[in-house]
Amino acid sequence: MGRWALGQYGEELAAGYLMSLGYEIIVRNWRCSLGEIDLVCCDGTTLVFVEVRTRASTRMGTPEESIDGRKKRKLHHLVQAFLLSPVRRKLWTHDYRVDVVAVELEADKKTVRRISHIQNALE
Amino acid sequence: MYARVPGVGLVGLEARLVHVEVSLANGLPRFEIVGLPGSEVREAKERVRAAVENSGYPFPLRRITANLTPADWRKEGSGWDLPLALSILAAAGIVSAERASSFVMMGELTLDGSVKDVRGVLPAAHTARRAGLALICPEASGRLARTVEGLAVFPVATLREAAEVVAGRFRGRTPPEGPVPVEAEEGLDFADLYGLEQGKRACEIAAAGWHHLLLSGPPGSGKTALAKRLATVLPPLSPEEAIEVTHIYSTVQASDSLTLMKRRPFRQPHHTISPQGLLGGGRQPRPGEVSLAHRGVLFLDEFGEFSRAAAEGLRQPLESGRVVVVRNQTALVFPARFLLVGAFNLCPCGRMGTEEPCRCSPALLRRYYGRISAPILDRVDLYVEIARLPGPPGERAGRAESSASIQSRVERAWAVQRRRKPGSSFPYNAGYGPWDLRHLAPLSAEAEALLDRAYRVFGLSTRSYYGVWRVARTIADLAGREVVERMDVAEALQFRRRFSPPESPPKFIRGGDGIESEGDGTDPVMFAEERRNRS
Repeated sequence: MGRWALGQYGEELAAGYLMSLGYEIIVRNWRCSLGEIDLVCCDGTTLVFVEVRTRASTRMGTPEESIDGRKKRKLHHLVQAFLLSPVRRKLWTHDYRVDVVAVELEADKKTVRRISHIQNALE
Repeated sequence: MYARVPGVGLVGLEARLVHVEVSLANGLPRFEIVGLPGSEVREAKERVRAAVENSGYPFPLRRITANLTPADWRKEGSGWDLPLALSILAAAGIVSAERASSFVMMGELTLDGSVKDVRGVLPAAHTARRAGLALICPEASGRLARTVEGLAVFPVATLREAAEVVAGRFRGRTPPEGPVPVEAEEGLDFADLYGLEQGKRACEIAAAGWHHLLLSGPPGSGKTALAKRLATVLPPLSPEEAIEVTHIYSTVQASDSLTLMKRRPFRQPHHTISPQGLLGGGRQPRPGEVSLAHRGVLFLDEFGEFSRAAAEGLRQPLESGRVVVVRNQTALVFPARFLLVGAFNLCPCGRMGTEEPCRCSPALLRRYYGRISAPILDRVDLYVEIARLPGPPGERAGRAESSASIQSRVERAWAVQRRRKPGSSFPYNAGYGPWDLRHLAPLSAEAEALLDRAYRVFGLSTRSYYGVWRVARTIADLAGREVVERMDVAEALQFRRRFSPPESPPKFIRGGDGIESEGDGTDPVMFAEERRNRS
């Protein structure tokens, strides 16, 4: 499993996890010229943007640690872009937040070791 | 998810209790320190993280907020690592937060988790005792911290040991009996000095009455040798004084080389020292050389070469025995009850007083003497001009009197003075004001007559009039006399300041000890009167 496939697999897992929490997935891999938002979902009336980080080993640090200032800035820009996009017009809510879901897998890249969900990760 | 551990922050000589709070919150992993941390404290982040991980504890991957409360003054130094690390461990539930809050902690961490020595252990120990808390300190400071009575001290060498102490499974290390530090230059003794009788006598009087002393003379005549030996005739520090002095030293140096001091400090700062270095100060005020010389000798070699600001700054400590430093709207008081010994050449080129002709221009001389300011000179009771020995030192047979025997006389004089002013923290003659002199230093009728005549003939200032009186009191104490006699005043008059630059720099008289009249019956006042009549 390559880098990209690993990311896709992690996003699958994250989406499943969030749905089990009762979140409604609206868009997956929403793209624009600035980049991509992994998941956009609704938690009740709150719009939730989710960045999924997947790691098969913590040799290079934990998935949470891999989000640096640059990524945070980028997420902010993406959120602004999304809120201005046509997709947004179908939604009624004004509240939103950005969450991070960290997925750690075992060395076989299949078994889940842990999934952590950090709400409002960018505040 | 919350823990609070007491720590201490050094402000001047005082250690203030500061609580290190840590809160763990959900969020992306982050470690922030708030509460006005200085740059060393901000760097603690990286040290603490590495030390915790390398000690085998998990570093919490949460949003860590540490707060140093009260947050209204700047925290400096590296002693915050240990309380930060332990409050993180406590907040993460690795050690008991409740137990951790009953220890004052201080210590710097290395990346492998060992605890390094920091300065300020003694003030921290006193603060901990006042707060009724125990102290966890670096192993090297343990010995010093244990000198504070009624305080539980737990010296530790690693972060893991500190955590064990908090858990109650470890009682702290036994501090090593390190080598006893050498506090003063050993082997100095007045017995090694030949001649210089006037200088030696001045040193004895200076020690016996805590009189400031000024030595002048050509290079190589023995000014420095005398000054260095002055510390050897001062009696050792009393237990209370030892605590006072060690406290000051503890705030400027790590304590591994520090024990409770017995010898009096001898400080010899270089003449290029800045005013802040001499008097204390800086952005984070630290005691200066005058405070490090507290209860000991401050030797200023090449007195005339010190910067004007530094030398003038001596006025306050000379007057009141302390320095007040005001920084950031807070005033800090550093004690500075030192014995000043100044030494200087008679002229900048150093040739005056020798065979060679001096090549200094009058303007240069004026500038040189102008730097030695009158207000400072006025506060110095003893002034001696040292001359080169007329013959080689080996010529004189026998050994001079040893420091030990001079010290025993000084000790007797001190005992007399303490009896006279019981309960005073500075009972020595140099601290006598006019009231004290009138009541504690009675003059015989002849002595008073001589002193009054000297006032008129020599044109003494009121301050130097009392200065002569004080020195006479000390001379009488050394001789064991209740009442100050005429001979005491006569000898004291020899030590008064006699040069009045810039018109007439001190005259050199060849031969003898460089004084105009010995105490051999020649009346100094008569001498001066004769001279005046001649001119």
